[in-house]
Formats: sequence, structure tokens, C-alpha cells
Amino acid sequence: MHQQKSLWALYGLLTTSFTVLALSLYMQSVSITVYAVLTTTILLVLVIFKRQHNKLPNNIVDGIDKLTKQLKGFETGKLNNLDLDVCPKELIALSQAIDSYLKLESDRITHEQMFSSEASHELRTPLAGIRIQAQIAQRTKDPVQQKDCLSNIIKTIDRSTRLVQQLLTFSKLTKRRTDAERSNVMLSKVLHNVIESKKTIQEQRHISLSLHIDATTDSIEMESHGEHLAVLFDNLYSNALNHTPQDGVISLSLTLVGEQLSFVIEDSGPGIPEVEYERVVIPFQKSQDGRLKGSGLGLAICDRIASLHGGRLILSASDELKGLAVRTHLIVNVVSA
Amino acid sequence: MRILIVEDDKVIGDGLVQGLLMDNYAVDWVETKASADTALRTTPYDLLVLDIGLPDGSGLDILTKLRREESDLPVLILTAYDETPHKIKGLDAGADDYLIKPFDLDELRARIRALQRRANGRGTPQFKSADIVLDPATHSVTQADKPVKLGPKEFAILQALIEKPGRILSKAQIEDKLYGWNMETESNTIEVHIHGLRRKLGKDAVITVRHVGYQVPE
Repeated sequence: MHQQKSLWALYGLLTTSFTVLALSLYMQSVSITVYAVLTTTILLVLVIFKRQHNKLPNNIVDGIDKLTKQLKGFETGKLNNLDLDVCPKELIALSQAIDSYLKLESDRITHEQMFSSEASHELRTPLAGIRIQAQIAQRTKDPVQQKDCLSNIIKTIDRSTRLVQQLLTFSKLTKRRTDAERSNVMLSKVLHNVIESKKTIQEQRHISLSLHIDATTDSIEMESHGEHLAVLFDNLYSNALNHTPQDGVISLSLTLVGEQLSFVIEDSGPGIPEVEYERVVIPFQKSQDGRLKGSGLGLAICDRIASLHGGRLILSASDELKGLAVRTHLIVNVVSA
Repeated sequence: MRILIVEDDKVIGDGLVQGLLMDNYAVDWVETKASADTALRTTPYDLLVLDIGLPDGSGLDILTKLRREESDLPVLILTAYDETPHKIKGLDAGADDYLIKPFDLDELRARIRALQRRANGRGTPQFKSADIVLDPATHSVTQADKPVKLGPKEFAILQALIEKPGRILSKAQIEDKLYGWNMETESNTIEVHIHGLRRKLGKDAVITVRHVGYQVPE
């Protein structure tokens, strides 16, 4: 903007000085031929100057060309990120914006492809169970067998309902949505709510809970995705409750260091063998001995949420409680003190 | 006929056992690759129903191993993977048939009968010995075109023998084909059922080969 204004000023100055020169020559009554030649030259210079000024500088034209070529490569699937080095500095901001948009898109596409293929596979299994049990109920004359089949069918339907809910949660976990839905949340309160909602199970099973939230975290709001973090806390806490034996211990901690929020949950349950740490966070992977029940999406959802918030799930053995320890470090923007 | 089911989903596994027991097959069910290996090593099976996604690995490993050991055990893959490349992979690994979940129990039963037929090198769906005809699909037996009513175990013994007329099966071999792991057997049951068969089909329907076993005439 500023540059353009000064160019206009220069153009105005040139026009004025040429007009003054032409007028003074006219006053001194030079011959009509000399006067005509001079005026034409002046007009020509003015026109050329104006055209040059409207035209984009060559390096910019080049840069746009290169950028277009790269984007076409993206379109045909040959490329998946932009080479920003070829851009002139005037175009860097634009290319960066395009690049981050493309990254969002490819994140969404990968996520969707993986999701739909796995989801169809996962849904077929309970459907097959329901179908075969229904066929047996139809065929048998034994009322006890019939009743067993029907209760198997109901159990499987409940299991698939949970699966569908989790599939929906998982499918919504895209970067674009997460970034758009960030707001200011009191994360300590989110954690308290999750604990409160499981209080009955915790008390019934006589599980003692040690909760540690540092003073800052307890009193401040952070720009984050409250719903996601509620799901993250809920899944991890439910897992711990499910795997901790009666009279066991669960410890939870939430601490903020700079912009990094650490959530650590440990339990006195049987833990997971180290070789399984990588596997259990992959969608639909069950543990080797089939001990991990459920949809196979719980930890995958947590890992995805963590990665959308700049972190990931880290599984290890709990030193103190001898069960499983899950820690995750998330990037948050601290809003108010 | 004795069938091994390898399936990690409890509801499907339970349904398969119940469904196939209705056809009087002897059925064993395991949930992991490791236990399938053990079962295949220790028990003679006539057919394997195999799931691919098992908690301790792929069911295809079991199949590959079987074929490497030159076993011609009929194998039917039962899986939720529905894409064509998966089917091709399964069949090329040595599967005889492929069924996608969810499936129709009646279709599975029909496919099992077809596999059984082919395993015995036959094309026609009925088995014959002298004037006796056994139809596994309808569970019916006729003698000289007249229907004969057999008990479920009598039917299963006759089926085991009539699949290959002339072949001698020992008492232990017949027991293996009749009883899964969870079924109680009594030491003289086979004799009791053979006696029943002879009473209904005539003395010569089942031949005793002394100290070896039983056969039906070719």
C-alpha cells in the first residue's frame, strides 16, 4: 500500500514537471516542429512509465508461476507439501497459508480413508454375531437356548451401539474442527467433572483416588478444546477404573509448565506388557491375550486427541503403583491468571 | 465329521458351535492362533472354519502352515474383510472357500457340505452304500427309497462310514468324528449306536472288521 502511494506521488511529480517544461518552451516560442517532437516524447515517456508501473515485477511473476506448477502437482497427487524455498519473499506468506491449508486437507483425507475401511470391518463382526444368534433362536425348540441367544443378541447390540458412538467421536477428531472449536476452558473443572461422574463406580469398588492439580492449573482458563479433553480424561480414567482391582489405587495429576499441560494417570492394576504399548493405541487393535476389552478405539481416540493438541500418549509401567502409567503433554494457551 | 472353529469373537464362536451341533457335527472352538495350532496337532479334523483377524496374529498363518505341511484339510475362511484383494489372498494361501461376515448360517452349512463332498472326491450331494442313501443336506436316510428314521448319533456314524464306502474306521476314529472336547463319551456308546443302525438298516449295513473297526460295503 505504502509503496503504491509513493509511486503515484512520483508519477504526479513527473507529470507536473513535464507540463511546466512544455509550457516554458512554448513561452520561449521554439519552432512548432521542435515543440511537437518534445511533447510527443514527453507523452511517450509518461505512457511507458505508467505501463511499467502497472506490471508486476518479474520475480513475482516467476514465483506465481512456480507456485501454480507445484499446486498442479498436488492436484494429481504427486506432491504433498509445497517447496517454500522457490518463492520470492513477497509470496512467502501466501504460500505458507496455502501449505498449511493443504496439510489440513491431507490430514483429513488420510484420517477419513483409514476410518471408513476399518469401521466397516469392525461393524461387520457384531452384525455377524447378531445374525447367527438370531438364526439359532429361530431354529431351536429349546426355550433355554432361545433365551441365551436373545440375551447374546442384546449384549451384541449394546456393544455395537458403543462402537458406533466411538466411531462418531473418532471421525470428528480432525485438525480443522479442533482448531475451529477451541475456546477458553477451565481444565481443572473438566477433570473434576469427569471424576465426579464416575464417583459411584469408584466408591463401590473401594478404589482410593489421589488427585494432584497444581495451584496455577486449578485457577486458570486455557484456550483449548474442552469437549476433547473431557473425552480424553474420561477414557483414560474409565480404563484405569476398569483395570484396577477392588481396594486399588489410582493417581491423577494435572500440572502446567509454561504452555505445556501434563496429565498423568497411574493405577495399581495389572498393567500392559511393554511390547503392547505401541499396538494398543492403534485403532481397533486388541491386546494379544484379548484382555483389553471394548471397541478397540478408546486409547486410539485419546492418542488422536493428544496429537491434535500437540502431544501424544506415552504408556509406561507405574513406578509407584506398579500398574499402568499413561502420560500426555498438551500444548495450551494460558488465557487468564 | 469333526470341525475346528477358529474365531475370536465370543458371540459368533458360540453361534457357530450351536449351529453346527444342530447338524450333528463334532465341533471344537478355539479363540487364538496358538490354541488352533495345538488343536490341529493333536486332533484329526475333517474341516477348518477359520477367522483371519485373531488377537495373536493372522489366521492366514495357520492356513499357510497347514499347506506347507501338505495337509489337504478343507478350509473355509470366515472374515469381515470384504475387499477383493483380501479374498484373493485367502484363496491363494490355500483356502477352499470364503464367506464374508455377516453370513447366513444355512449358506455356511451348505458350503461345509460341499467342501466335505469334494474332500471325498465326489460331486453328487448324496452318499450311497448298497441300497442305502444318505443326504447330508436334508438329514435324511433312505433304504430302497423308503425313509429310515435314525437318531442323531446313528446318523453321524453312518455319515462317517458312508463318506467313503469300503474304508475302515476304528472305534477311536469314529469317536473323534463324533465328539468334540466338551462332549461326554461313554466307552460302549459306539457299539450301542452301531447296534441301533443294524437294527434299523439290516445286519449287513455295517460290517465289523474284527480288531480293526467298521465299514459299510462299497
